[in-house]
Amino acid sequence: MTRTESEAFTVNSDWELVSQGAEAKLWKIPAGSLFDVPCIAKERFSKAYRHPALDEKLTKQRCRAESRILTKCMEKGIPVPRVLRTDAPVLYLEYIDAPTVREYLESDLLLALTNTAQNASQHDKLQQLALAFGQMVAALHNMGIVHGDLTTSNAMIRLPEMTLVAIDFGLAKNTTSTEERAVDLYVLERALSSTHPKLPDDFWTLLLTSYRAAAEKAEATLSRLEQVQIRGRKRECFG
Amino acid sequence: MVTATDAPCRAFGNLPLPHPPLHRIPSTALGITYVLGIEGSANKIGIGVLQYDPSEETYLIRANPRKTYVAPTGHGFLPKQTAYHHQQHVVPLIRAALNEAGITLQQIAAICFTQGPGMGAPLQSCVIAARTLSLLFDIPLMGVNHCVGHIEMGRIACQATNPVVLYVSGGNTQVIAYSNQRYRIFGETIDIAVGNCLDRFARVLHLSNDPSPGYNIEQAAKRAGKHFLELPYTVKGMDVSFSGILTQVEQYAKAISSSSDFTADDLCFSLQETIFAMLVEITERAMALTQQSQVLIVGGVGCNRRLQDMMQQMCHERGATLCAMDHRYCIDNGAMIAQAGILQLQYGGNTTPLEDSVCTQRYRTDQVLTVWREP
Ligand SMILES: Nc1ncnc2c1ncn2[C@@H]1O[C@H](COP(=O)(O)OP(=O)(O)O)[C@@H](O)[C@H]1O
Ligand SMILES: [Mg+2]
Repeated sequence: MTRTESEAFTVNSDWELVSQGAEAKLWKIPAGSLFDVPCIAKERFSKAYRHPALDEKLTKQRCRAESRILTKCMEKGIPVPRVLRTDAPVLYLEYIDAPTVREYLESDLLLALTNTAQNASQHDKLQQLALAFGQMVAALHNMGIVHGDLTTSNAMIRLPEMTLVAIDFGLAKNTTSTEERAVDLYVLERALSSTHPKLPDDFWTLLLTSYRAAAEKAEATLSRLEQVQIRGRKRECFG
Repeated sequence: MVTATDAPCRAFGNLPLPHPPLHRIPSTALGITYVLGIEGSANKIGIGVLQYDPSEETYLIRANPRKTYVAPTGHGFLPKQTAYHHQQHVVPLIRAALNEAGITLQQIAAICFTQGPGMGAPLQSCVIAARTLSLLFDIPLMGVNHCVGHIEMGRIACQATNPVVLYVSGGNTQVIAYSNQRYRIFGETIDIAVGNCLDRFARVLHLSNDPSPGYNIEQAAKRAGKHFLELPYTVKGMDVSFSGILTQVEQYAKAISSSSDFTADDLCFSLQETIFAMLVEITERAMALTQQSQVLIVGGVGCNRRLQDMMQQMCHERGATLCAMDHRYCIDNGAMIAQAGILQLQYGGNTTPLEDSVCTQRYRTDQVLTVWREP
């Protein structure tokens, strides 16, 4: 057993470290160890570079925000991992046995496709994925939730049915602001182009079409998105 | 921490150099290539002379003089006055640089100039100087993206092959990582730049612009009693926003009186702690995403010791390395433009025909095809 930063939190030898990101470590915990189903422990660790007051606030706040919003999604029927326990800065979540969208896109199958866009069935899969992603974002926005960190690493994909499970809600919040929804989409657009430069152009167009069809305030959000994009391009940049 | 070196530097992480050279080398001893770099996109004008020595395969800065336009306290630098400053200094600086390098214009293989991004009038003043020399001495022009100049000088000086780059200056706030022959922008500000936020707050406090507003905020923060005031903390994915923080901290500043329990220094401290934590956070997120383990901070705000220290701590915790701060790529200068320009030249990138030598205020980092790097 190793002791980690937070006091009561101990990692068992049968826990498997599955991810160490920028601000959290995630372990897979086998069934029967803590809960009778396999689960994930997500520990937000403290950052020495931050002022202690800011650090404490951010790690706890984000853990609680994630827990609160996951619970809300679950109640409203949006596919997310179930929260099993919240013990800030540690969150225990249902284990989702699926790859992330990024892993899926980077698998050999789709890499070939994104280069040539020839194979019709693979192109279909990509279209299906774009549609599902648009619907997932719309469903969140319809519940008054902005995700705050929409990327292909923060959605998992159940195969073969291609349903998406949204994860990583630490930067999420409850809001009905049009600007916040537009920025949510803007962050996703830029994450797609920087992480997947070879993705065909119509992926984003299709994603937005599907968002438009499913989101309640789509018109207002998408016209605000245009403004946010223009702001990005026109921003004075010198020095 | 990787330290930068002033000695001749080899390039790492680029494609092999074409051999024989693709570009025309004016008759110089031993086939050395010299280029001139002209930078003037903001309040500094700098002229660099850079050489490439094929026998050693090294790049060396032979001269790099510069002048800074300092605006009066309480004001930002305005395009007209800044352009006038550059016009006054460009010719004497070119003379000084050539003298220091001990070469003549006839030996120069290309005139590299900042094509953008930047302020229109100052950029134009420099491009006119570049064009004039090009016509008078029949030397090809090479337009350079300012940010790529920062990055290439940083890579060479620190021997950093593939760093995640945090670009922080008066006009820019970007987290950049390389993929597939472009420097891609992973995160950026969605409103004002970090340097702009610091400069504007310095004006509210009537801090001097000499040597720079950011420097004076840093000094004030050091004097503070560690009283941390909470400010909005706005990170969205790898993007950040500073306008809400600026509004809040300005309101605090207006509330300063003999009875308030915080000082202007405390505000500078809290402002730095908050915005630098945001910058380090998005840099770390980009590192986790791209699985890279080197960080390079470029741009004027990169000179701030507190930002450097925080980034260093983050790197230490992840087992990554931070490239040392260095005047050759943190502060705008001519040599960095020459460095990006010479790579373009050596790897067969097109020189810039006179009719295309217009500058542009908006020129995104990811528009440049980096022909010298592995696809
Ligand atoms: N409930 C879960 N079940 C299985 N794997 C998960 C689960 N949640 C997260 N992961 C995996 O861990 C990675 C990181 O989780 P995430 O919540 O996004 O944290 P971070 O803040 O580090 O990005 C995800 O990309 C995914 O691969
Ligand atoms: Mg994540």
